[in-house]
Amino acid sequence: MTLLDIQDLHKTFGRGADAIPAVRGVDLQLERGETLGLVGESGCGKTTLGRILVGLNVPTSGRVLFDGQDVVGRLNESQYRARVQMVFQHPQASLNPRFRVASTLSEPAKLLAANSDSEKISEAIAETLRLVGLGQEYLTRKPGQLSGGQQQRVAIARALMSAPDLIVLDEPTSSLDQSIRSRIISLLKDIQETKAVAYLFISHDLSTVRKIAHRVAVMYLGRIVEVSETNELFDDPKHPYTKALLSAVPSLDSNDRSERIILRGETPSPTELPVGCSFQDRCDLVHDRCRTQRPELAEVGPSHQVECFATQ
Amino acid sequence: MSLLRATGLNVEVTGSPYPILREVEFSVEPGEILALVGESGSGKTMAALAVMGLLPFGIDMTAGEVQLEGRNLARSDGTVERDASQISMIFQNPVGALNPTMRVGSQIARAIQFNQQIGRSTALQTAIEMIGHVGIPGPERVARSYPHQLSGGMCQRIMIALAISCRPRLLIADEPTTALDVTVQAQIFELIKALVEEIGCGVVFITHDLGAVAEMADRVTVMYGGQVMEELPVVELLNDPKHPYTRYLLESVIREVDHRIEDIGVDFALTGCRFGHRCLLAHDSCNEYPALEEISPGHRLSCFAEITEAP
Repeated sequence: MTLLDIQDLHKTFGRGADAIPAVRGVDLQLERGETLGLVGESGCGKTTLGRILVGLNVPTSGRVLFDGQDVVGRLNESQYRARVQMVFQHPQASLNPRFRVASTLSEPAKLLAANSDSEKISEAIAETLRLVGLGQEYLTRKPGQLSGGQQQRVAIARALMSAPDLIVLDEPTSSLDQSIRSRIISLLKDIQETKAVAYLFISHDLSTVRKIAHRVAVMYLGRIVEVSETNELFDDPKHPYTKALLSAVPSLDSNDRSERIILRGETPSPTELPVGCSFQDRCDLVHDRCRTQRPELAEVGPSHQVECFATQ
Repeated sequence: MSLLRATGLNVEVTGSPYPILREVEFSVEPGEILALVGESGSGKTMAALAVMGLLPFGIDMTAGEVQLEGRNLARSDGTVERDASQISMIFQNPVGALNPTMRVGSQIARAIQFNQQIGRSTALQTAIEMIGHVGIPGPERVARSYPHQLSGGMCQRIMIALAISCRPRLLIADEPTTALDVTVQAQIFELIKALVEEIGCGVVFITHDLGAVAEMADRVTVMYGGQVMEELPVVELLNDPKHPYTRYLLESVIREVDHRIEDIGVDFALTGCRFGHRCLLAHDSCNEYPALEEISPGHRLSCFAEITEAP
């Protein structure tokens, strides 16, 4: 059974004329042990989507099926929380500066894993710490005594403590240096192999996503515009926005740089979205239909879906 | 003659025995984009601030020369003459770098008036022209906006308009696109390249993104732990880097670094090469400081190791 099945999910912040639709009808599936990359630019709604999954935002409408059960409305129950954890962008801000690593890691075990045996908890902490590549001497450290990379390892360890099925990783490597970033990615892959945990990997860094994700979903203004298996998406993107996004990534390889697509103008404000396709004003393939009717996600190949009239 | 030549820059924190920049040198020719590359804490921003005469309180330049078109800007008391008409800087966080209480048009106009003896309304007119020049539609309207009313990409364009409003000889861009999305980054890169063509200024482009370096730079200075490791043309960076650190940096972009290899921070107490304790090729002589030496035209290296094999 599909681990996570999101159906027509909406989230609007505010009311009336100032209402900001952050997520506008998202459908997305995630299998057990799979990594789904969620990419898009600032303000596209990717973080809101991730926060909904861990219960930090309440959706306006739509269904979230976890293991076949609708969990909207129950997102705060500890039974669900134990199974879905989150790692945030800034490890320093997401760790309690007064907690030693041992306390940080024992919290979720006590609260969520219904595990009151302190000996078992210490065992689990020791094992998890080993899994994220930190020695036992780190148990007594406080976040201020750790480097950025080590802090993020602790944040990942904390997420693992309740033995989750899904971890939402919201830009987990964006604040880290390249070499550290590369290590965290390799660590996450190893953990996935051992624990068979699924990742929703939210990022705007496409080259990092390419290294870790099995499938990638591209989000633009609150909608998924394209979703595909990773290599296919990078080799043969279909949506004009995906094409522009991929071509904008600076590359070490000069051959990659021949077809740079520079997008015109700016992302429209979410409060004044045009009728029809929201990418219409920046698209080279735009025609009359795009200005009156909104395209829906449609199959263009096996497990490759695109939301664009021009490709359908 | 080089447009900018910084040599032997030593920068120290008051009370600390270890210099945070040691013997740093780099140069820029007119119309050239030099990338200063390194990870957090490598000293790349500090080097730029030293050249600008903008070092924070408590951090001083204890030695070094900063020559702008042959004229030494470094004073004997360790400060550097600030030449706002010749050198401009673009910062990493454009929204934070602009004054939130002033309309952006007035901010640019003020910079223009600071360097030229012209009236307020003429300066504002020039400011509006500059805003149009950096590709912002409806410059009159945008000139009347406050920074918080504009997107990050727009604010960075305003910063660039501000920086080029006095037609500087040298532009220092400190991670100008790190806070921006990739599609906006691509727009800003195009803009900077077009401006370099047009006004012929030299650029010091500070970044940790090697993809951006490959895209933008003509030449590269690689820094680690406050020292220059290698200086080379961008083509050689991609095809034939020599320094073990440069290779390691490239490697971490292309391949995954095994997470079991411990990441070690910079040790500023090292008297020799500061990459020494992480370097696979390190030997006894690395306890001395290796001077930058030219190994082929335009390619200089600070390393004792005999480097022959390809990466």
